[in-house]
Amino acid sequence: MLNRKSVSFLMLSSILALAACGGNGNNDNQGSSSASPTSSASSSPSASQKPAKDVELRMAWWGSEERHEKTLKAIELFEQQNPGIKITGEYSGFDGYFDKLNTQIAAGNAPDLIQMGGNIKEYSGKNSLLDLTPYVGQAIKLDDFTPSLVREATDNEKVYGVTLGVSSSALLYNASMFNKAGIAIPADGWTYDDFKSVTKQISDKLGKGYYGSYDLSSDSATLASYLGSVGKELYRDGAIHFDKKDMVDWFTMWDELRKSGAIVPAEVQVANPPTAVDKSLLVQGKVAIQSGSASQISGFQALTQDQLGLVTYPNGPAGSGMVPPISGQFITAYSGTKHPDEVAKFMDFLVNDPEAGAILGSTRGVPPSSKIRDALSAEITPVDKVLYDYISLVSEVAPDVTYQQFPVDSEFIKLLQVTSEKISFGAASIDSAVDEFMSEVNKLLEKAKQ
Amino acid sequence: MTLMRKIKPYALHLIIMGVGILMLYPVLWMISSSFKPTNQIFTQSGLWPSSFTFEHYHDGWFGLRNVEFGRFFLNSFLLCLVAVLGTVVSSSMAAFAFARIEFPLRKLWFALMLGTFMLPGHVTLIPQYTIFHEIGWVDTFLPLTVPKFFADAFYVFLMVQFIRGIPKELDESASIDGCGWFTLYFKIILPLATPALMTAAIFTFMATWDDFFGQLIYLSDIKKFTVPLGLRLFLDSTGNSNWGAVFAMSVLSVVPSLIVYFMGQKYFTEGIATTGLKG
Amino acid sequence: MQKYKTYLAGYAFLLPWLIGFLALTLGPIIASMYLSFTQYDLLTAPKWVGLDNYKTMFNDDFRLEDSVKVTFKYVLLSVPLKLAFALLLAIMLNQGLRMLHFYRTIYYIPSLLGGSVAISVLWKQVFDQEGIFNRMLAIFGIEGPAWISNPHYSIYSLIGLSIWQFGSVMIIFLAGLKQIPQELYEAATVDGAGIMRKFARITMPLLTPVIFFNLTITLIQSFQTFTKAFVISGGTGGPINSTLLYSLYLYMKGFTFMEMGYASAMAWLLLAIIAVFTGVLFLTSRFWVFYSDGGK
Repeated sequence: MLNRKSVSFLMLSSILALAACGGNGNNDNQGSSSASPTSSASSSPSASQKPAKDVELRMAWWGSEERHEKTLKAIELFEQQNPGIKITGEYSGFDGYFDKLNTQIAAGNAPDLIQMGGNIKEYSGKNSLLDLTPYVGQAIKLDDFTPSLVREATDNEKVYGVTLGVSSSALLYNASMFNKAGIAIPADGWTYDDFKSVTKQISDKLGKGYYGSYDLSSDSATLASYLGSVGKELYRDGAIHFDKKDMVDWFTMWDELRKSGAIVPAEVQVANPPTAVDKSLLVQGKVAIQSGSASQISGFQALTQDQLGLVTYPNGPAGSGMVPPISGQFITAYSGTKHPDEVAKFMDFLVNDPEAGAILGSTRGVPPSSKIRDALSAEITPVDKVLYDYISLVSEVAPDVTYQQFPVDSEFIKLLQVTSEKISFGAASIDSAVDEFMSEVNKLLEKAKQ
Repeated sequence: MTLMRKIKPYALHLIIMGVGILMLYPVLWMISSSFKPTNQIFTQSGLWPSSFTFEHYHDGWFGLRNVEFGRFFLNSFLLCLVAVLGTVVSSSMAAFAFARIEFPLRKLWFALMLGTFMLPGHVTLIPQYTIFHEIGWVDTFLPLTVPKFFADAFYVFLMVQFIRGIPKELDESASIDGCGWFTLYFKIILPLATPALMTAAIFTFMATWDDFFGQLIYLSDIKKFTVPLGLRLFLDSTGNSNWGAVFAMSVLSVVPSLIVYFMGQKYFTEGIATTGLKG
Repeated sequence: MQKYKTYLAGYAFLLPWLIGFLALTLGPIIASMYLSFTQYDLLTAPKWVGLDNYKTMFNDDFRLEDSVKVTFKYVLLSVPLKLAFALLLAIMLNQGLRMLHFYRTIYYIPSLLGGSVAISVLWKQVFDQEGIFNRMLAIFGIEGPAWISNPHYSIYSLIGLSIWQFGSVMIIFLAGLKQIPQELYEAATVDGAGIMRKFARITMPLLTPVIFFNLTITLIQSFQTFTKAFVISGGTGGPINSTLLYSLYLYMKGFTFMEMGYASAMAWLLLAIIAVFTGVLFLTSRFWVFYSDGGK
């Protein structure tokens, strides 16, 4: 803090002249924005009772225009119900959202309300997010949330976020392809042996260029589920709970599938990454199974005329590796916000108000409040129904474990991907690639502890 | 001999045309996709859409609450104009100084200027953002326009090279005629360096028109958004993206750049009459 | 007296740049140097760690090695090819062909698409296993590899993308060609010089300042290439780091992994490398660059 300030102070002194002529220099058509907290803060102290001055909040989220539309509508509703509070949306696509957020936090300029994904823990531990614990149960009611959802937003006994949408990891499948190949659609309770046989059959029956599944060896969700199904675990409380042999088994399984033609070869995998909806071979009807977040199904379905579905990950010797539904997205608050009370009020509105629920629908996943879910279930689209049903299924069948995400998650994911690629392209033997993987994983754990 | 001469222009045309078409193929694909229904864009790979739709153009333009895509075009356009003005004026001034005037520390400043060009922008981003935040310029167009009035190393260097190609005899005869530095700059050097100035203008326009990261970091109010930001508003790689709208708006957004480029061509074709050379 | 007036004029013209440099550029540059000695995750204050970042860079970073190799390969191949292509086409287009405007525009369009979101999708259409390029090769009986997704070839698709966008370099060459006075060519023709002679004795020498500019600038920019690599590899630098250009890795470290201190150290290393190359270019320029103002 000190250093950043002194650097900028140095600069400030040399550009005072500039600021004077810069302020009225350019003809930008809006005048000053309603946004900067530094200017509004000085005039409206937090928790003020005076209705004379509007409280202005800034909210940041990412999405596509459908989500922007719905969120803005919900905001308008809130503003109508709460005169005196104005919320400005600062929204964008996903690209660059976190770069911009990080920049804003580094300069002390982050918005009051911030949409977060699974990376919430990367921010909560660093004092960037507001501690919401005092509001839970009071301004923010989380009574009809499943407790695990609240736990996910908790770090060191403090609550830092409110779930906006529930999702779960899932295997998305192309039902039309299964039908074409005359193979039964997988159902919950299937095993890895089933997986191997089904994928082989699909690629055999449909011929060249068609595959049973993507290469899921680089997918951390699938890996986590696999480890769970063999009685191990990816990560818990500062340590990993798997060893080299588990990883060797893992990569060997996928290597054999690749060699038998059941899953996509290395080059095809890279050219059409499963995570990119626009490049997905599932959409193009060339690959029958891929891994992802269940709430993505509507995005995928919109791009194809084939029928898509969701199924749980296969079971292993130790049973199911699934975890209960997780929060797809959270709404959090910036620790430096000047209006925590109003922020809390809006958060509660977002997740509990029935009208807001109706407006927002499932744009961020299945609504976390069971009341809102019930209210919506009568009118949802077929695609949404698939999602809702899946989430209910997972709540029932998943063992009751609390999911803990690997810290420095973004690095872990990239490490897994590079390792998987080295093996699939034959650039390294499974054994040596896993050795390198394990040593880098331990480095990451060290880094996370700092 | 004469046969060769006859063929030459045709052969030339053929080669240039051929390469041209190859270069354009990706663009043609983008245009064609903008007219295909969403669930066929990635599944039908042919260039000619099997079913035509204009919905993407409509959705792209009107699909966002509170703002039309046209607003983004306007903002981008204004930004570009100011950027071009600022860059051309300030860079030509600095280039003139480096190329024509002998003053102390000239070499040092030039080296420093080139040095600033060599440092990757990502690491100075945060300190610069902090400065702009401290003076309250965040979420305005100021951080994107004012710095353009302080010259850009790339264009200064470009113009220096051009100006050095102008014979010094012109300077000397001008000063014999009693021209001061400013007149020399304005009436003699600038006109002769027009190709370089136009190049700088066009490039600045393009670069500003396409600048995603800079505009992303400094602009938050949706009404201030520019074309690159607007295009990405439709893309959510974690959920539903509206690729049709993106392609449609991308097609439209290439048009202004093309127009600017086409109009600026005239200045590349004018030769330079150095009437003073022989006299 | 006259001398001081000259000095004053010099600084007067330099003033805009000077102000900007001192106010907006110098500070952040010094800040980034400072940050390179710290551990900075953007969310909390920077922590001094001395030379640790530099030590890790040179001893313990498997990605950095890959990245440097890939970047050098990219630079050493794409720069000469891009320049050669651009110069060749500039000369061809300068022959006074009809439809010149039209062709020039077509060649420039790829550059217009620069960092466009559409590029990644478009490029894949062309260079995918089943893409247009391979289909063309198939006509000649060659079976092309998967240019973008095979780690041995992916860097070439990036190099290809870079060369595809030669339009801006070509424009600069064209402007340079146009600045060569017609009278020189006319006088040479009168003296009986043929095409090759005119090219070697008039065009090339007078074009050297522009060639020098394009060479230097393209070299610097190519070391700093970010957007292309980001867009083509989807931000991963893959497969297996084969498209992990230095700037992409720097961005990854600084923003994605939130290690801005390390990224700053990487930036200064890059600057050192670029400075060496640029310095060599400048020093050797006196041997081949010809300025009409008699300078060097």
